[in-house]
Amino acid sequence: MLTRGMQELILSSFAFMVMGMFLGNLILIVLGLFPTIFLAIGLLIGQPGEVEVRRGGEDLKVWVDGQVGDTLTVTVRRGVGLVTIADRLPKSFRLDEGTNFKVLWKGARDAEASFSYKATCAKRGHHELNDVPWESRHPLEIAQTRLGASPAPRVYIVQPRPLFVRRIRERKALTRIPMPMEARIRFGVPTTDFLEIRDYTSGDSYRMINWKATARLLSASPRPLQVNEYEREGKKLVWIFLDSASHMALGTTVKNTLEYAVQAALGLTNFYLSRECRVGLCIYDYDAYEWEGAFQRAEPPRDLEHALASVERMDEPIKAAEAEVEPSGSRPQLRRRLTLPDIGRRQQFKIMREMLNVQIRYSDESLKEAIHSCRRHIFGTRPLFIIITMIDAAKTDGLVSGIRELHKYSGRLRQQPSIIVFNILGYSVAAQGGKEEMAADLLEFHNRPIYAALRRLGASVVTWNPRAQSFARALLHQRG
Amino acid sequence: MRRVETYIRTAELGLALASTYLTAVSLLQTSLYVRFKPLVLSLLSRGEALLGAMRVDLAYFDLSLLILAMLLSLLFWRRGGEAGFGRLFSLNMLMFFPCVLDFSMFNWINLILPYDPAPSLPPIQVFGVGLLLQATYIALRNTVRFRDVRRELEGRGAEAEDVDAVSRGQMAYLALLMAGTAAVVASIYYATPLVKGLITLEAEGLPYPHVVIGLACSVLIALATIIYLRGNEARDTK
Repeated sequence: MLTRGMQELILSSFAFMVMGMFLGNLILIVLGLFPTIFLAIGLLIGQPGEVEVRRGGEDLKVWVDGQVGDTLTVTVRRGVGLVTIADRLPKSFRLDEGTNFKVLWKGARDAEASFSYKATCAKRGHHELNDVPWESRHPLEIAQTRLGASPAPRVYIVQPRPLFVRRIRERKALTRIPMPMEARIRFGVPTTDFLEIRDYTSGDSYRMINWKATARLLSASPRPLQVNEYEREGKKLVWIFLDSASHMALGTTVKNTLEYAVQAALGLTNFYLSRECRVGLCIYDYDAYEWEGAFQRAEPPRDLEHALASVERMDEPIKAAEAEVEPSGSRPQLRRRLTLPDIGRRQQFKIMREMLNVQIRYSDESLKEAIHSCRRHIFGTRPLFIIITMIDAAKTDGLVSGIRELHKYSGRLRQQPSIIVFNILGYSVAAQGGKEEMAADLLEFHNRPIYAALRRLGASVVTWNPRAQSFARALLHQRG
Repeated sequence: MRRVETYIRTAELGLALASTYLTAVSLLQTSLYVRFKPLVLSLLSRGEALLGAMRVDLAYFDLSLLILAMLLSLLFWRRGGEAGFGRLFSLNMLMFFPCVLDFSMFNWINLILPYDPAPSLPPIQVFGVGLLLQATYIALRNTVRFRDVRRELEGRGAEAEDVDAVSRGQMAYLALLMAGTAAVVASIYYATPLVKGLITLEAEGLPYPHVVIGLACSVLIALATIIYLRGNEARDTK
């Protein structure tokens, strides 16, 4: 590092010596050596070059707004100078006690110091602190500052706090929290719950024939035998679709619409899992570019080289570059965020783990594509669908097409599927002050016709203003 | 202001006043000053009426100069910045130059007007004052930087005790480095007459005048320092 100050020193040294030689003055010549010798000795004693950092705490798993703490011990060897160490915390952490920045003077002997801090984790996530960066400076800053990082790994898992809904005590509630209508699956042991009467097909047991119904229908016109169909044994199914589009970022980094949506999704997951339901989760991006071509296999075909090793090759192999070219019309690779339905604590843990990573534009699929992705798990069942999003009057096409897609896969029995659109009022989340809240109310008012249109499509709309009402109250006040 | 910063400022004041005082006193003892003082006094006596009105006694002219220099030094210290200390160095050099001219082999003033240098100060004293001047200049430049570092560290959230420890360490390091450099330079000054004979013998064999050789050596020293520093920079960047 050749700073201006150092240049001046070298120049003054040169000027003294030249002047001394010109005048034949020994004093000036020797004085001219002073800055040069000063620089030389200064550079000879370099700044510290060996910094070691050790952590005293341990990896932690905490809830949002929980507190974590750590103690770091720093050892500095070799050289003389000042060393700064900064344990960079994630942006969503708030320092409560102590300090995460330490400055240390390293003299002739090895220096050791420790510092500790406590911080509050304001946002969910999986935070890994790998290296502790340090900088080592020359005491007079005549040498280049050394930057380094000492490996000191630490992991903090900050879990989102679910909004628990255990029991609703309010009698005046307009409706109750809906449950899936049926627990029907295509395969399984028939229960004693009657479902419908249908035509006889080969393989049906004679015991299932409803003779009275057959006789009644045969008296009118020739019809096949009629059999009783019973519910198959299974668990009730809930599908949660969580929107991760950019409009969900409304609000602050810590308290935004997506954070409330995650909390709501976890609350609903816990609620339904605790009631013996199977819960599936699918994360989508409302603004995702929707593929208009035919849906194709998203994953590349498996390597057949190994399987066909014994077959004699007839053609020359295709060059790798040509083989990698996507055929025209194929669907691009998308990030699909799907957690298949399951029950119990294991599923709760899986969904919680997924929620740790959810961020804006976490998925590449639109709502329609997401429903299409999990169609095989929906087909033939009567699940409860919960779409957690923020309804915006300016763009409703994606939501409407998604609901129509749901009808396509689950409306087989001419019954309306159970669909809840859980609308988080993002503008109210972001509003600060009276005027902004009024504007948010106005925007919400503009959404009213959309709610009506969605209800006509057979969906219930639940609106939730997280800053004004609790999650449970929002569910209580829903209207079908 | 914290105690350590007060200590730095006090050290700066001590150095500034000491160097100015010594150079001013040295100036008053130079033959150049003695040569030109009557001329200045005769010029001043023409405005005696004005000086009388201002109650200025010319008998205290030397003392007035000394006090003026000290006041200027105090003013530059009070400003505290790098520019202020640069001006202080210029002032000190201005007063020091007549002293060192007395020991030059080439009397260039004699080319303008008749002047025979008759040094009243021993050369070691002049060298000592020069050494103090250089040390003061470099020390003051660095103490300004130390204060900047303090502010920067405090701004980054460092604890006050740690910042004080850093400042103390920097001051101690600077003092040691200054002392070491002064010792080396003084050794060179004392050793020069001893090796002068050997150097002269070597230099006489060369076909160039000593000024050219000296100039080339100075350029080489400056270039070597710059190349070394740039080399360090490139290595650290990698």
